Order: sequence, then C-alpha cells, then structure tokens
Amino acid sequence: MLTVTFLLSLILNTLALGVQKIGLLQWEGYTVYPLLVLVSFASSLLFGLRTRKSFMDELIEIDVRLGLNERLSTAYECHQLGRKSVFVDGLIEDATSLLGSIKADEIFPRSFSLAHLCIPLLAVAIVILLSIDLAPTPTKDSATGERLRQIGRKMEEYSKREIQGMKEEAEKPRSDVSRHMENIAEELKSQSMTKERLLKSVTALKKEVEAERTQLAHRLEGELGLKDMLSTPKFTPLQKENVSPNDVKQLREQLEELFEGAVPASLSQDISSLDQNRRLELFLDDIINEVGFALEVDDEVSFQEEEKGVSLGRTFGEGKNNDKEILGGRALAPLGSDEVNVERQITSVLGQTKAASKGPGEGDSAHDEGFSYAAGREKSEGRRKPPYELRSSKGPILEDRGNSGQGDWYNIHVRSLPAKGKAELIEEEVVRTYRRELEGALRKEDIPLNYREYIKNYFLSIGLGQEEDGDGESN
Amino acid sequence: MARATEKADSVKQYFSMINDELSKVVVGQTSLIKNLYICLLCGGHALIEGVPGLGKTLIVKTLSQVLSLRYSRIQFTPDLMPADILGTNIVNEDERGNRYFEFYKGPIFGQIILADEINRATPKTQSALLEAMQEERVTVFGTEYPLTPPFIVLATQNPLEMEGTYPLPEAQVDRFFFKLKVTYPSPDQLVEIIDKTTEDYQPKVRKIVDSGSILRMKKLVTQVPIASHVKDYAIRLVLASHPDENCLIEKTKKFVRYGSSPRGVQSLVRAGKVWALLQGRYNVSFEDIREVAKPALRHRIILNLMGEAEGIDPDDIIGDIVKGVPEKVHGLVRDR
Repeated sequence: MLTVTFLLSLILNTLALGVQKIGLLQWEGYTVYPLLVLVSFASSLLFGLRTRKSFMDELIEIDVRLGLNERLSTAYECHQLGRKSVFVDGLIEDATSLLGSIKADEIFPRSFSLAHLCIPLLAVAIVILLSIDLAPTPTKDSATGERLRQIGRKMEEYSKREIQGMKEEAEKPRSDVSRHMENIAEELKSQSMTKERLLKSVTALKKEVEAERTQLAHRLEGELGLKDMLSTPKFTPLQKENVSPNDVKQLREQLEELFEGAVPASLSQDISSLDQNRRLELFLDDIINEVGFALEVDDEVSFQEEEKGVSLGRTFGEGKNNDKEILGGRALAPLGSDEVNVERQITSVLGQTKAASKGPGEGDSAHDEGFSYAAGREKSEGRRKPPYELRSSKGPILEDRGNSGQGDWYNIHVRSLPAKGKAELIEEEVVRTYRRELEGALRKEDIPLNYREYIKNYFLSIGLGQEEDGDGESN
Repeated sequence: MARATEKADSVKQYFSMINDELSKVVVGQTSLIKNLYICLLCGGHALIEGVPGLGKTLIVKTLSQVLSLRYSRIQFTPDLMPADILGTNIVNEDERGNRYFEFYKGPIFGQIILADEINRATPKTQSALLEAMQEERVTVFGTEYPLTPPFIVLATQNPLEMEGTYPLPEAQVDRFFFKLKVTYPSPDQLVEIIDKTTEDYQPKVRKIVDSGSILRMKKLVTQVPIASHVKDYAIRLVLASHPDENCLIEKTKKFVRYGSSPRGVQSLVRAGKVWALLQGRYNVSFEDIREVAKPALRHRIILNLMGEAEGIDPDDIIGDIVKGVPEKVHGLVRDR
C-alpha cells in the first residue's frame, strides 16, 4: 500500500511538473506548480490513509496466506478485547510460538510488481523535467510589457468608442420613426384613432422616412464623392430621390467589389440605413393601402344606400368634390394642405388597387362590374359573397357616426352573421329536445288515446322523420 | 493453561476412542460418526437420512452403548400417538386401596433417543418431540417433566419410500442441529460388512464416555474462541442462502425459496468449535466453518418449485455458497 501511495504521488508530481514545464500553469506571470505539488501529495496521503489496512487486517492476511487457520488474528483479538476463556492463554502462547517460527520474509514477502518498476522511472522523469525547459521564454522587460498593455487598452477604448458611435448613429434615425409608430399602435389598441387620422399619421410618417432616405442618399453620395469613388468607371450614380432596393443592392455589390469585401463601416452603415428606410417606406405604403381600402369599402356601402335614395347620416361636403370623395370611399372633413395631400395619396392608392383588380382596357370607375364591393370587411375577389363567407364576419356592431344631411336620417345597426360551421349546439340535440317537449306536451294534454299516435306521427313527419329513423326503435 | 489444553485434547481422544469402538460394529461412516459426536458435544439433535440397509439404526444403537447413556428407541408408525412417546397418567392403587394418577414416563425420558423412521408418524406425533428437543423437558397434563441431560434425539428417515409418510414440518426440521446423510459403502467396505455379518463375529463394545464427561466437554466447547471475522464469515454464509436482492449466488437466487434460519449460524459456530478442537486447535477458523456448513445448513435451505422440479440438491447450493462467499471483505457485515 505504501508503494502504491508513493507511486501515486510520483505520478501526480510528474504530471504537475510536465504541465508546468510546457507553460500551461502560468497565471499572471506566476506558476501554480507548488500548489499542484501540494495537491498531489495531499491526495496521495488521503488515498493512503483511506485504503490503509489495520493491523488486524494484516494478521488475517498473514493467517490466510500462510494457512495458519486464523490463529494469529484470533489470538490478537482475544488479547485486544480481553476475552476470558480457558483457551485464550494457550491461543496467545501458540500464536507467539508461531510468529517466532515463521521467518520475516514469509510474514512480509518481497514481491516485485509494476509499481516497483514505475517508481525509478518516474523519479528519472522528474529529474529530466527539472533539468529542461520547454516553455517559451517569458518577457523579461517589464517596461515593454507595460507599453504593450497600454497600447492594448487604447485600442480597446477606441474600438468601444467607435462601436458606441456606430450604435448611436444607427439608432438615431430609427428612434423618431419608431416612437411615432409606437404612438400610433397605442392609439389603435385603445381604439382612440379614426381611420382618417391613421391615414394622416401614416402618410406623415412616410414623408419623414422619405426625407430621411433622401438625406441618407445625399450623405452617402457625399461620402462616396470624398473618396473619389465616382471617378471609377464601374460606379453608377445613386438615384437620391427614388432609391429602390435594387439600387441599394447594386451599390452594395459595387462597393464590396471595390473594397474587396471590406466596405468601411460608415458606408456600410449608411447603406443599411438606406435599405431599412426603403423597407420601412414599403411597409408604410402597405399600411396606407390597407387603410385606404377600408375607407373605400365603408364608402361603397354608403354609396349603394345613397343610390337607393336612403339618406344616410353622412355628408359629402355639400356636393363639392363629390366624385373624388366617393372615390376615396369616405366623407372627409375640410382639410388643410396636409389633408389635401393625404387625400391625394388615398386617391392614388385606391387607383392603384382598382387598376390591379381590373382587367386590361377597363375603365377607372368605382361602379365598374369587375370591381365589386361586398358587405363586411373582406376585400372583394370580384364577386359578391354571402355574409357567412366573409372572413371576420363576427365583428362588433358598426355604427355610422357621419353628419346628418338635409333629409330624413336613419341609424342603421349592422351585425354580421356568425361564421358557417361554428354552431355551438348539436343539431341532433336540438331535435331531441324538441321531441322530448313534444312528448311531454302530448302527455300533459288531454288527448284521446287513439289520437295520440296520429298527432305524434304528424309532428314527426313535419321535421323529425330522419331523427326518428336514426334513433331506430327508441320509441 | 496446561489443564485447558489437556481438556481440549481429551475431546479429541474421546472421539478417537469412540470411533474405534464403533468401528468394531460399523464399517466406514467415519464422517457420520464424527458429526454425531459433534452433535453430542453441541447438545444438538441429528436427522439421519439414508436408504434402508446402510446401518443407520445400528450406528445409533452402538453409539448409545459406547456413550453409556440411557437409550430409547421409538419406532414411528402412522398410528403412534404423542402419549406413546411422552408418557401418560395411569390410575394406580396404593396399599390402602386408594386410587391415584401416576405419570408413566414414555420413551422420550431416555438420554439418547432413536426416533426410527420419524417421517412415518403423523405430524401430531412428530410435534410431540418439539418441546423435548428444544427445551429438554416435556409437559403432560400441565405438569413439566425435565429430561435428563445429555439429551440427544437421533432421528432416521428414508428418502425413497415417501408413500404413507408425513414430511417433517419445517419448524421441527429446523430444530435438528445437523442433517446427516448416510452414504453407500465402498466395495472394500462392503467386503468388510460381509465378513463381519456373515461369519461368527460378535464384537463387545465398551462404554467409553459417561454423562458427566459429555457434559464437561459440552461446557468446554463453548469456551473455544472465535474471531470476529470468522463469525462474520459464518453470517455471510447464512445470508448468502437467502434469495434476496443482495444475494450473489446464482443457484440461491434461482432455486431457493427460504434460506437458513438463525439457528443455522448457531449450528455453524458451535459445530465449528468442536471441529476446531478435533483438529487440535483452540480457535475456530474459516476452514472449520466450511467443514460443517453442509450438515448444518442443508436441511435449513428450502427449495422452491423449480429447485424441487429439477431435483437440486441443497448440498450443491451450499457448495456454491462456500465457493462464492469471500473469507474476508472490507469491514464486518454488521458495520455495513
């Protein structure tokens, strides 16, 4: 056991020394080798103590090995525990004489094992490791090291500053737009924003984005001009007023080719911002389209009602610009210059939408057959739909709050039908209930016995025949 | 010290003398005689099993002659009643003509009892022996009658003729210290048997040991020291006969229903002590425990259905246990 413990200690020490020699145990210029040596000795000691044999165990082992029939161990135990027996003295005497007759070599025989071979080998390995140095020469000049550390710190500070600047630059243009969009979203959630206001806000937002995009395009071109990029034959000038995603993509490809993939961060950031702005613009366009279309559908309903001579509580500006407003699908309050722009925007949007839904060569009239406006909220697919086919037909009660005109006015409340296939009661259950009620009624009524069957059959024949068949002979 | 060793040696010498005397009548069966001697010194009873004609009854009868003990033979038959064994109250009349009950002692009131073909009696009669075997006394009509020590029951049974027999209840089997098997004699021994039984050979058997000497030797045997690790080994042997989760012996797991009772450990240790004295030692060794393992445990291991069906011999299981249980493990079994 001593051999094993010693061997374990040597193995751990050799490992620690080897690792230290190849420089893996350097930490802040200090070596942890002494600590590791301490740990290896401690663990070896712990192992030795944990697995050590007691004297009794040794005696048992000797008894078994030499075939002494447990005479030594029994005698030792009797002696240790002070057992009283007529045989104890004879047993101890016998054990003493036995030990005297056995040679020391037999009690602790010499044996050669792999452990014995490993010990000198490991000792030699330790000596070799102590004499050589495998680690790279550490920096002796502390001044040089300090200077290098200072340079490193400067580089780190510079890169942090740059990254922070880039982040601020990148977040700044988006923050205003994002804030506006968040405000709009909040108002939409609380339903405190009308569609007209929504359209105005989105249009204003779009303008902001367009302005930003133009500014970015200018700046980008300025930057490119400073770097004499325009003089390169492959470079195409940027269309500042109407930058398309293709333009941005093309510009990026050209720059990457020019810089061999290493486009400067500022240029790359501007291009990304430009791209983002463009995508935002497209998104806002979609929103405007959707809002405009919703307004258009609302106005179609009122337009049809107007055709029937029903005067709805909605004013179309005393007959002025009626066509345009009807086209816009919504009666608008008097607008300022901004509102006029918004109105124009709506008109153009609607015009695009209709043109898309019409076939080639068809006119641009709201009353064309190919452009139908169905009730409900879903976009038309060119045909009229029954109410249950409309998506989201189960909606809130819609109330037209338009200004009343000269004639009679009505408040019309429209509630859409529930969607098809969403019934909450099972049809058979309803029929069964009816039948139970019918039978109950028959029982309660004073009907002659002979007529009961006729009456029952009559009721069954008018609507419960199939149910009756399905139930079989339940009656 | 010298006196103790003399006493220890006397155990060995007595056995040698008894063996010599028995050898005049019985051919071979040395192991059986040795185990019967161990039973005698341990105060235990023996169940002797063997096919007819192997000399079971002869050995017991001759032993009783050698030991100078009061001998009783009970031939167990299906119509034997407990009163036939224990004794009963009979009406007696004194000189003045007054009648009174007097207890008439049965054959159980001997010292060495031969219960021949014990499995032929009904369980009711078999169980009449229970109290006598365990407590060395009998109770008849509420009165306790102590038996005279040394008291030893040597029962025989035939393993072949099972028809019309009543297998001994487990509780009674467990009360037997040893279960001994009478082996078939070798050809040489058969020749000797023929010579002794077919010629005019009438040996005279001497009485070797009296009751007092046996009781003194019984007391001496209890004094033999046994080390903790040897006790631990005996315990592990007995535990290994139990088919529980910790059992490492494959045969035990597969064929054993119930393992040995604590009486098995007692038998192992007590028999080991006598065995050690017979070997001329004053302590019990692992080897002593191993030597007595089979007679001490074979009747205490109850086979399961598979074991019975496959005709497994409990001796094979004990052999595996002895091989499989290490002599020394780290720490004692009670510390684990």
